[in-house]
Amino acid sequence: MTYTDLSSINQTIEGFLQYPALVDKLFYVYILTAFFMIIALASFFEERRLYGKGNMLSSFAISSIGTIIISVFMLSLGLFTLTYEIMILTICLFLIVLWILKK
Amino acid sequence: MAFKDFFISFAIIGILVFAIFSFIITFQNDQDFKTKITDDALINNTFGSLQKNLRSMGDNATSQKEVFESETPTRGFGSLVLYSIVSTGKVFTGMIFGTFNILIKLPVNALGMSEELASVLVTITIILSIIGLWVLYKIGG
Repeated sequence: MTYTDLSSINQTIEGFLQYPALVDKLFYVYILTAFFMIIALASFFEERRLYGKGNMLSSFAISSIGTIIISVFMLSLGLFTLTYEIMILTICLFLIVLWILKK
Repeated sequence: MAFKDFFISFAIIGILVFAIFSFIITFQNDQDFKTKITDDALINNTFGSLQKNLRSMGDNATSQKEVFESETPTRGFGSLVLYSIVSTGKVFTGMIFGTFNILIKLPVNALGMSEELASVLVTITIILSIIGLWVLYKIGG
């Protein structure tokens, strides 16, 4: 069995970025989830600090818009498959729809 | 939620989802992607249906405006009676459900959302629109 190692990297910047995804297909999905949570929680706690009250749903919705844009860039670099992109897009759109209906 | 607010929320949702899809499709076409989001049948159908639904919105609104303008109001008990508001309500409820039915397919098919949950969401939307519509018929807003 041939293990994936650094010699498997395609000698381009895309190849370098794709390397973690060769080891774990969900690697960049985890990175996106972390990005989503950091933006959402930072937005929520900053809102709470400034106004004394935070809205978690609006923080999630705002974070979703950023996540969608980053995920499109990641898809362009081939960091994950179209199936994952559609799942990310659906979850983010669901949160945005919920936020607009709740307003 | 008032019927007017409910309809405006759904119109904004339709525009926003359409804008996000348009951004992704335009970006992918410009960058000449190998894997395009429109390769997926679900996204392709959703985008196409949403486009059709949003385009029909303007035509429907214009025709309802003409119906409303052509009607002569009659005097009712403490108010003016306009029957055209009933047809306006029916048309715009149809448009709310058009957008809703297009968008609910995404979580049901892509995430495997259960039919029971989808059914509960449909029920909530129906109840909200019926109550909103009744208030609209009764007191005009």
